[in-house]
Amino acid sequence: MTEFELNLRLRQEMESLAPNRLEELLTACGEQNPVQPNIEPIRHKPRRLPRLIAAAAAVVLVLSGSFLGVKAAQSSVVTVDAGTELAMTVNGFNRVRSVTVEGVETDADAYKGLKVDDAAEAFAIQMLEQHPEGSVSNGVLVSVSHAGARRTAALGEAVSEGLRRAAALVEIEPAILLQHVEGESGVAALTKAVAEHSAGIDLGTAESLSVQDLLYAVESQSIQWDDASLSGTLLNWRCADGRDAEQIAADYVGAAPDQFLTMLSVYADQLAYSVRFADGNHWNSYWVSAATGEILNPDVWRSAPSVDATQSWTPQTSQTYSLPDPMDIIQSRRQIHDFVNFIDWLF
Amino acid sequence: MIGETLHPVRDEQLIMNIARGDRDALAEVYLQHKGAVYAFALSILRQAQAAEDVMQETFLQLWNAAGTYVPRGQSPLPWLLGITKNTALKHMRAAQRSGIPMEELPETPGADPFLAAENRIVTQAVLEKLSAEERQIVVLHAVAGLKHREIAELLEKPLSTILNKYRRALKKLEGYLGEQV
Repeated sequence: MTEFELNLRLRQEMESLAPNRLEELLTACGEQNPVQPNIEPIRHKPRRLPRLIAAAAAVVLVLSGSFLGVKAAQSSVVTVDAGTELAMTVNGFNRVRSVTVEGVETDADAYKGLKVDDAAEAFAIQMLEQHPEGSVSNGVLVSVSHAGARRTAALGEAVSEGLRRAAALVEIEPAILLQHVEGESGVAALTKAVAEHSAGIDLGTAESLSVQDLLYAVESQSIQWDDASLSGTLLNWRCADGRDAEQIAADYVGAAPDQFLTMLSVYADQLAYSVRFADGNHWNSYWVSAATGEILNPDVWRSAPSVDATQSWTPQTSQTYSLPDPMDIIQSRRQIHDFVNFIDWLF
Repeated sequence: MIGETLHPVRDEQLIMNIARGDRDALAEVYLQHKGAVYAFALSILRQAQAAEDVMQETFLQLWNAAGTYVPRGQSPLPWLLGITKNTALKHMRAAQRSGIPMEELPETPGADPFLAAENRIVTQAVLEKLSAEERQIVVLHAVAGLKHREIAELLEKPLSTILNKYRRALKKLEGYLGEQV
């Protein structure tokens, strides 16, 4: 029984249990007799601290004041991005001092004073409540700034723990990318890293991608860079990586090629794999949606062997055309990108 | 979110109509929220008859106190449940003063034919397996549809405490119901 089913059933049961004594109530309601409602909170008697203990506590506070002051002043900034964003200033005791929230309807002040993991958990729960189909389940970016490596790792672990607790309520295990940044936003740093490490995604293209798209680009291409680590596995993507896209494209044609030229890029405003492979003397070129596995250009499925596009990268022979070894073509991944664009232009 | 919530402004308008003596408005609020009020009272008292009395008393108080409600553009349900909470606690204290602590009242759902039916297995699990605070949190979220932040305000607890207890309660229920269902 899932949480949703459990809550629904409890509600149905309670609704059926609650008796309907409306007539009795209306009969009891005579002329209104205005009274203050009974909503005063119960006040607990204040406890008086013995003076000796109070004095001792004061001495301890004075002695440890400098330590506490330094600790409290060690503020770091933690942002949690998943389409929606939570940005927290966190003190040395991992308590949230200030917070801004975007994309989630919430009372930001309620986060102040929480431990950072509890704040992350609360935020994730609200994301799941308000955006159940997206956000956390599609991956989360956690960025830490104004912190050293150890502090980044500690804060990242705390935030990840909070996110996982929330995700466990709906039985998912989100992918979380933790990175250390300085001088730029977490999303900007991620965008730059994806553009630098992806042959088919330049900076301008990367800037148009969502956080979830960027996380997918990192995971599917096994991108690694300093001060960043990815844990968990992204959900909701048909293609785990380029090999899935290659299989989809080959199945579509009914071929079993030995080699592919495959690259993650953007086609029709979505992340897609450009998959090329030889089938006999024909050159097949497809775009496969990373999210759905759909062939995005089903009508343009084979190029003739004499297609001019090959001139840019293979010795041309008019009678005995043979495809070159793709690996010989690949001088650099950037060159492939140029080549892909050229082929698309021709088609 | 499981719980139904009317448009906050319309809900508040109903409360203001009640303040002007509109019995139809009272009936509408009663039918809309009696389930949440009863469930919350039951989660505090764990006794069906006592919860029923508190439910009636809550709406009677609403009839008399609607004029004191200050509209804030939000659902008045948390305010109504605040009345329920204090009415239930008053009920509990009265029982204790009379020498009959609530714990000694017939609280075992199995002993109450009203709660014993097989199709009330989740309610039974909530009443039997959860602590007092866990019961209240689960009921307020699942039945009344309150957000965790609203529950934290109503129960005067930190949000993190509410979240932790809610999670713990779910685990308990999943463990128990996994064996039963």
